Amino acid sequence: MTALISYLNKGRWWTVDGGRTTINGGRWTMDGLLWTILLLCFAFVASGQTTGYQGKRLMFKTDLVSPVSERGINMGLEYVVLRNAVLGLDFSLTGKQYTQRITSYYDMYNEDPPIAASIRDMQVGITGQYFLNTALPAPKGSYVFGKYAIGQADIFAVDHIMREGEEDFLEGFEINNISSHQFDLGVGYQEVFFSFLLVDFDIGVSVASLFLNNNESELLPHREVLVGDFARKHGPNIFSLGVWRDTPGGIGLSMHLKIGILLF
Amino acid sequence: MIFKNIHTIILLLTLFSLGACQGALQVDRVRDFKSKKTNIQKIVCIDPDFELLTTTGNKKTERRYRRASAKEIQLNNILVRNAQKNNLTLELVDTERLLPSNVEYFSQLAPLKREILQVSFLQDFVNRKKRKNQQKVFNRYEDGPAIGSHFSYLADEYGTRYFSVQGITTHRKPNNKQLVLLLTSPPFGVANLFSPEVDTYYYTIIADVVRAEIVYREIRRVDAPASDTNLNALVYDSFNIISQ
Repeated sequence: MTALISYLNKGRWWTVDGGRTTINGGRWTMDGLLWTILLLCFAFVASGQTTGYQGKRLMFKTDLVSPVSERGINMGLEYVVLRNAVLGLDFSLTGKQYTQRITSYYDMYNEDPPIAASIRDMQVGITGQYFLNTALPAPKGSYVFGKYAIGQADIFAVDHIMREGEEDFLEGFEINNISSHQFDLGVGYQEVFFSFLLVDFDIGVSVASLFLNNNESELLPHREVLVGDFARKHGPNIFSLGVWRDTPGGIGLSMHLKIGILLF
Repeated sequence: MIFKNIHTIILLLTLFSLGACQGALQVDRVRDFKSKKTNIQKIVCIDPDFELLTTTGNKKTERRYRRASAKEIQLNNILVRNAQKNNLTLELVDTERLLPSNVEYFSQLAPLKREILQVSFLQDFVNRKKRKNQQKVFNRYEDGPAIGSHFSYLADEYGTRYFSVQGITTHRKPNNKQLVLLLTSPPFGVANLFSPEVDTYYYTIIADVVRAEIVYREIRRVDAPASDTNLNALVYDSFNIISQ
């Protein structure tokens, strides 16, 4: 929870007011909002006919696709809060590398820069799953899900430097502590084996944003364009359809194959 | 803005239509049927059934029906185990294990089972106030379908007033291979191609022989085979609702 609050502090639509994080012009505090969500969850638990799988409701899962497609890890804890609803905390760390297309370099050498750009993104998020089959209670069966994650990203990229009378060269640059957001929406199917082993497959749309402007260090405008060019692939782990709004970050299709265990 | 992201909207709609795996659950019970009030500790389960129904698609042998004795043993174990997990004692009377000396089954429990099934088929749960029957997943009523009062002596004999009829029916249907699913979402399409088209129905009817009425009735349908994991999930949830 502490980690989640510290990540939430890096958001855009709330402000730090005298050490207190406030939302909506100071009417709510961030702590208050999180406690409200938590209490609502407990209220749902108390009122709903929550079953879980044979009474087991807490799950730990890890993604098998993420190490292959994103050079990272993705894991999370999930809890059956209602008969058909699951809430979870998710942690992901990705270190995807991208081939940069720099026009001036390509025109000169007819190839892309040999040094790969990379985005290292660490996020924590909240997931919600709604299981569609009323006869089979969660966590078994097909479901629709939504996930909202926020975190910090570090970007490494190269710039093609050309100066009159000098030989051109590639210069690497880093942008650290960028606020990153991701939203996922999709469908999935989860199966239970041997009463404890979980296999979960999901597919959905991912939307990611990297807020370069929030970064303290000044970024040259053309470098922002360079980053934006490959950052359009950031977010979706299967394929990107393009850029989402005007902020760097992609929109596209994501797929996960998770295995996990039903703890208790 | 909408046209800019039209591909995303189409993708989302496709995904949500693919996720439309359905099932059904309906629970009807009388208002007083609550374990904390009525303190249900023991239920006598009369000969659970496991039936296999096959629709072939062939006009001459359109429907085939048979009882699966081997599967019944599996179901019996699942019922007893999951009742225990919900702090209920389930005394299971199985005709497969009856001895020639157990004639009382045919004079006592077999007529009760027949009566429960007939009454459940012919009568509905009723509310005293003249409101329309609710059609929610969980419904509470004033009165349940009435059974004969002459079964009340069984309460003393078996040490409980609650007698249940439970069973599974699986319906295997001709597989409608969905080409669209295969084209739009290969993982789901491939799974659909190789998985049999099976619906599993699970039902529980509980009668209170002292009150001479059916107090609880539940029917579930899942579009999945009657595997151990599916049955465990269904039966545990059922007893969880009963014991709440």
